[in-house]
Amino acid sequence: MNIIPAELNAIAGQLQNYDAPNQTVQLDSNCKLTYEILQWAKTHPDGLTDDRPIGTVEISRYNKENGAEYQIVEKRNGGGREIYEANVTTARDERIGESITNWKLDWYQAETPDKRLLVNGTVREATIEMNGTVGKKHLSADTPTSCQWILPFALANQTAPMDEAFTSIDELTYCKTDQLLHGSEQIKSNGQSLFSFRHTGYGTLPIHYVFDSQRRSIFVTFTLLSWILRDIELI
Amino acid sequence: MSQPNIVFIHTDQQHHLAISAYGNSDVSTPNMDRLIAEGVSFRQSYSANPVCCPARASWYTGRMSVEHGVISNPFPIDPDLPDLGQWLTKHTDYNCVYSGKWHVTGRDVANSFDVIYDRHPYGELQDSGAARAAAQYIAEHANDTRPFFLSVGLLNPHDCCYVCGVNGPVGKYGMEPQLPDLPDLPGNFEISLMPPNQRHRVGHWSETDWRYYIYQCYRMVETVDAQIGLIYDTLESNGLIENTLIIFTADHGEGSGHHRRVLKGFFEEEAWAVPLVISQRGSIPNGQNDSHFISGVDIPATICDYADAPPLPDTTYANSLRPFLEEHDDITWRESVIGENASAIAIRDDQYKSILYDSGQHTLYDLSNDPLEKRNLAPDPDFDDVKHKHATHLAEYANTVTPYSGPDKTGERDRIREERMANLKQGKGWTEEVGS
Repeated sequence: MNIIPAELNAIAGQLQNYDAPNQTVQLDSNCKLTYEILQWAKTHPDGLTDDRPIGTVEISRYNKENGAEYQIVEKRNGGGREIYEANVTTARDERIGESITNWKLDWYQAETPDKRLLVNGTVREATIEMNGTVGKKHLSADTPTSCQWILPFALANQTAPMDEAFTSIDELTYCKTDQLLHGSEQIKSNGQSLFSFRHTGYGTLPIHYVFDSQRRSIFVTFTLLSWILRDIELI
Repeated sequence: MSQPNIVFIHTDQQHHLAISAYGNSDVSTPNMDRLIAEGVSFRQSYSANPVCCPARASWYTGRMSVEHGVISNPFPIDPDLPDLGQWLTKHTDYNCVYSGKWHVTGRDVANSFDVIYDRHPYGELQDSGAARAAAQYIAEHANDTRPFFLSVGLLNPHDCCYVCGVNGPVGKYGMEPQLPDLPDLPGNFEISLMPPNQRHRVGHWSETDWRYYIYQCYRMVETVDAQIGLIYDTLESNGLIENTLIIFTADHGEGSGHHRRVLKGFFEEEAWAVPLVISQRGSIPNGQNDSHFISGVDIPATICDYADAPPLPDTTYANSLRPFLEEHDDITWRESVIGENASAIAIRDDQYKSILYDSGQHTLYDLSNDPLEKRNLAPDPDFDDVKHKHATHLAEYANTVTPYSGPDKTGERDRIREERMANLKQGKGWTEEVGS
């Protein structure tokens, strides 16, 4: 019996038939990753799962001299049909690969596109400044900053073991200090060697970023939600 | 604007001590702590019925379960009862707005509130959006001349039951071999009151499994804490924090390993007690009320009071908390609090708690000397005077409330109305032993 690593429990039903995209790519080049968002629905006695697709995440990365620029579109059907559109700029950071320097987030529901929540932010000299619909806020950040849309790229080239504190700006909205990135740990799925980074901390149930041998971030597993890589496009 | 805006923020299934400001070092809740630092904590606050739908029906009608008809989740509410959204819309100038989890069986929230974000059965999908929609609404309406009543239903930490495998082994146990510092087991873990319907789900858990479960519950509390922070920050940055009454509570508690239990639906403190904080910067002095027993039905009474609306009709048990918040000296208040569910009714006073099961069993705890509820004193004749006092209070309660008598295919509501309430009126059912 194939033993499902705990990191992949919630999408165990997807693993046997999963084929990663054919496209190989160096993640420090210009490319777009498209993930399907799955919501765990049920686990059967044999350990397999029912997972319901509830949206997509598209992350486009443009390599820059000392970092990258990202364009993100996430669409998901939660309580409402939510759309996240974001732009993020990062700088290279030896601790977690890349650290956010500024961002813009535009969130709305498909049914009410005129009602938008805007969040802008900059990270400069150990201070995060957030602005927008929710008002102005300053927070200290003496660790590098990242979020779930950046880490699939930023961790790709991490080869040395890491146990690194960082600040997570969840969904580019919720600023959470006291976060930890740990990895990588080797796991096996369907005979394939994968390696996984773990994110834990305040307000964070373990999140795992799982890469294949080509250093493609093929799975990101949150709690009931998971991302599964469906397409890679060179841009 | 004469009336304050009212923002009612509620979490789902939060243990009443899962808050760092109350001394819990295993969890970090800076945003709940802000509310506590600016408002009044009611430390003896109890769910009207420690199950989702009944508790929420009580929030919105001001009535106890036996009155509104939702004695457990499947039972629909009395369709003729007005709810808080309808009531404030009818009697005041408030815009009544809803975001997130509603879960009042038998009533469409859209018939009561302007819904800005629909619910979803999983908090991971819902809560962030519910908080964002609330924040967006607050910012957009910051300069309105009409006040708003905004109810925000956050679903977590409820979903700790899913991730730990209570309803399916989706447990995200991917932290070994380097588990973090896990919380200690509670001091009454060894007293197992685990009911049969939990035994097949969690009866096989190791102590590490239990500690990991509690760890995950706390992380989920922290997640909703951050979402509460978004709402608070938006009120503050838009200049509304001094003109907004913020009420924060939970529909019921969470077993969290106490008595080796998870989830809700029972009357030991972990499931029955709830956090309750009410704040309004500059208007409500900071403080802690640990001597008055509060019921979930008091929340709508308080909201009506601040909204300058008449009390919801025929509410027999509810009282406004406003006199406490305005530090009145001459407050007459109940000496005990009552809760009920589909299988039992409970009463607690300043020292003792009785849980009277419809099966005929009785549990009596001395909370002053046994705060972890380890010893059932019901069989001890030395406590007959306590039982008599509780029986008298419950008989008064049974004689005061008017049970809902609407159609019920299961017969459960009829049974409660005709047997439980009749027994209480006659002082029956106080002899058998239950529990440890």
